[in-house]
Amino acid sequence: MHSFFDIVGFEYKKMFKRKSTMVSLFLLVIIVVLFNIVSVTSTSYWHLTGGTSTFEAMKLDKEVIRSKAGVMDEVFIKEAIEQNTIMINDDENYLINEYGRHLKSDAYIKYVLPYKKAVDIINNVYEKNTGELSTDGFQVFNPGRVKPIDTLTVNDAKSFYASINRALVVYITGLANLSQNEKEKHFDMLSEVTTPYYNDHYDGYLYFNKYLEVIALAIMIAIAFCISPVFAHEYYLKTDQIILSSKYGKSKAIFAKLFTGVTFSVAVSVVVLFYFLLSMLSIHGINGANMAIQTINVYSTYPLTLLQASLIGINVTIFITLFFGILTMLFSAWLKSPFLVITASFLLLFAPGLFNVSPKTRLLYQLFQIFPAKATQYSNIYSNYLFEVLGSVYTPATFYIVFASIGSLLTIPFIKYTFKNHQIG
Amino acid sequence: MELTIDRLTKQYQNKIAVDRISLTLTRGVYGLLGANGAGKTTLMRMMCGILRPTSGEVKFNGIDVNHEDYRDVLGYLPQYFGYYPEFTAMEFLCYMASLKGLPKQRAKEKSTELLELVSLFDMAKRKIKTFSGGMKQRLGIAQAMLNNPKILILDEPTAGLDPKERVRFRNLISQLGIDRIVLLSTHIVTDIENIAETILIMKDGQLIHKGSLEDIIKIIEGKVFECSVDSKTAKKLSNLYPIINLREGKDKTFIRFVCDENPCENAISVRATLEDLYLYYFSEVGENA
Ligand SMILES: Nc1ncnc2c1ncn2[C@@H]1O[C@H](COP(=O)(O)OP(=O)(O)OP(=O)(O)O)[C@@H](O)[C@H]1O
Ligand SMILES: [Mg+2]
Repeated sequence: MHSFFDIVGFEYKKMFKRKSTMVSLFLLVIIVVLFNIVSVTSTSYWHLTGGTSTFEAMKLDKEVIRSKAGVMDEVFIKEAIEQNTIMINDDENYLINEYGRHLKSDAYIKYVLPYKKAVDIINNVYEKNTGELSTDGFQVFNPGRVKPIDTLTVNDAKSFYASINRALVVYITGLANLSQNEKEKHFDMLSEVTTPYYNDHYDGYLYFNKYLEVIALAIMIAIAFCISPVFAHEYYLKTDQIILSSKYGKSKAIFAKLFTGVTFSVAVSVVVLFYFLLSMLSIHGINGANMAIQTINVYSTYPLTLLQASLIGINVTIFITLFFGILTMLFSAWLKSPFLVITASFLLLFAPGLFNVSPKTRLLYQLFQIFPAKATQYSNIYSNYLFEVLGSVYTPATFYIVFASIGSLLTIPFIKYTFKNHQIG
Repeated sequence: MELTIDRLTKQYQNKIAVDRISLTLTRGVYGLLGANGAGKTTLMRMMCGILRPTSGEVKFNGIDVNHEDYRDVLGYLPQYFGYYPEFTAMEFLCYMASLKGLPKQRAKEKSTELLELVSLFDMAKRKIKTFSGGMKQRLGIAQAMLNNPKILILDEPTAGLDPKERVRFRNLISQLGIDRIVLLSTHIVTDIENIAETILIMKDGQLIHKGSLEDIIKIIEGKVFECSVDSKTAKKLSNLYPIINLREGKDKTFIRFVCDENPCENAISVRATLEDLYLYYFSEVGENA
């Protein structure tokens, strides 16, 4: 066992002595920090007027939203509807010109922003006037159009959650490409969603989940550069001969390489993902952990809070990057030239993005959903499209984790076989 | 201690690189001679388990070449091989030692000892990328000996060594051969002449001779001649016989050649050397002219 970890130590030494490793890790850090910044600058804040800085505006918006933090119960919904009614009945809140009525920012901040999550849900769930905007095929631009919430009275607050539930049932039932089993799984999950929801400022969690796919991609690119030489460089440097003719060259040395690749992939993902989550929470605020993910997308059936959803996202990404790392090592042992290895890894990452597969062909669609760059997207992890295996239906997160684990375990013997049987000459 | 090679063959698509070689090696130094492409490297690779033979087998005391126990007693210096340019000599040796199963402390001691042996001790902390060709070669020799191997296979170990290191190396090998099987290939005949107890000559994948220096030289004993002749005669002789040495003088040409019997009256028979034999086997008649 001692010699195993000695060899692992040398494998790490080889990796960290390569310039490409240091450059990749450095760029990864830059990308993470860049998206920390982008998450702040890319949003338009309601308080962003005149002299206020972006950061200041962000803080002020947050204060307004946080002033109504708490349970999204009937009283809260009532207030939201009430405030909206007051707002729309006072022309003072609008800038009126020949193009129509335009809501003023300070009115929005006063009447809507504190209840924004609820208002968004209401506008989504109660929207039935999809036909209203089009008249005889003409799109009429109507900025002052009546929003669903404008039609509600305080009495409607009672039926808030029932309406959400109804809208979701209609929505799921109407999804054309889902099997009956999948629909049932959705209804099961739906029944487990805890109501009432919580209301709070959730931007830390929101941006973490929004940019998870970019960070995951950056992590995988860095991993590809760092561990693609693990086997290929031995062929390239012609050190393969002395390794393969040494006592442990065909056994422990290979496992030490695999161990190095695996621990490196996992360590990089864990560190970067948790750093990214914590940095987003410290930039945007740590609030929102117990909010339902329905407050981000009301048409989701997953019974999860934002904290749970984020942790699941981290988990899935760790397993996917692990499997990606192992596949990179398979390429490394098999394709020999470091250039080909990087090419293969990049194809694995980017090729699926070149195709737009419709869920109508479910099998193909799901095949594409498994590719690493897709499997780490929030929209795929919490997709409506579930995975049905042997009659049982699994959420994408479960499927991805199990798939990546089994895939990793099955790939390892191939890597060992390939390197061990590499012929010199 | 016995290393047996049984009808070992390696066939590439259109080329038989090693052709049914059978051989038993016991302790001592074996020198493998053969022209470029004779199959020396191919044979050695198969003996080190890094190239699968087309047929035949290699065993040491009954242990198959593919077994870990075989590799445990093996030391190999490949003909062309690489290093980790960013590693220091010490790191490289310690890494190889860990692959050979030496515990950390022992690896350090052994590496230091070997660096001293190949006169690289002062370079221990320098990156290998700053090494000269000969220094790298010496590091390669050190690496092969880390596990105190019973079988030491060295593919052109003296390539790139300066005369002083070459002498050191020869002395080292003679000592190592006392209780080991040492097989080394070379093109430098004098390297083998002095240290190899047994000489193996390979040609076109086959082992054409095996024996001690005296045995082998017997083949051409009395057939090596030297004479000084005019350039026309020299040309004629070189078209007929394998030429070992040819030196153009002012009006005479000095030649040394191999011939079954004295072809011209002023030629004198001289003592044969291994080099004469090597050239006798590997030079095409007429090519030196
Ligand atoms: N991978 C290969 N594919 C095809 N032929 C090969 C391959 N490797 C070696 N050979 C051929 O096998 C023969 C033996 O090569 P080998 O390298 O064993 O010769 P060698 O005696 O070591 O020569 P040298 O003195 O130049 O090192 C050569 O003719 C070579 O061309
Ligand atoms: Mg060779």
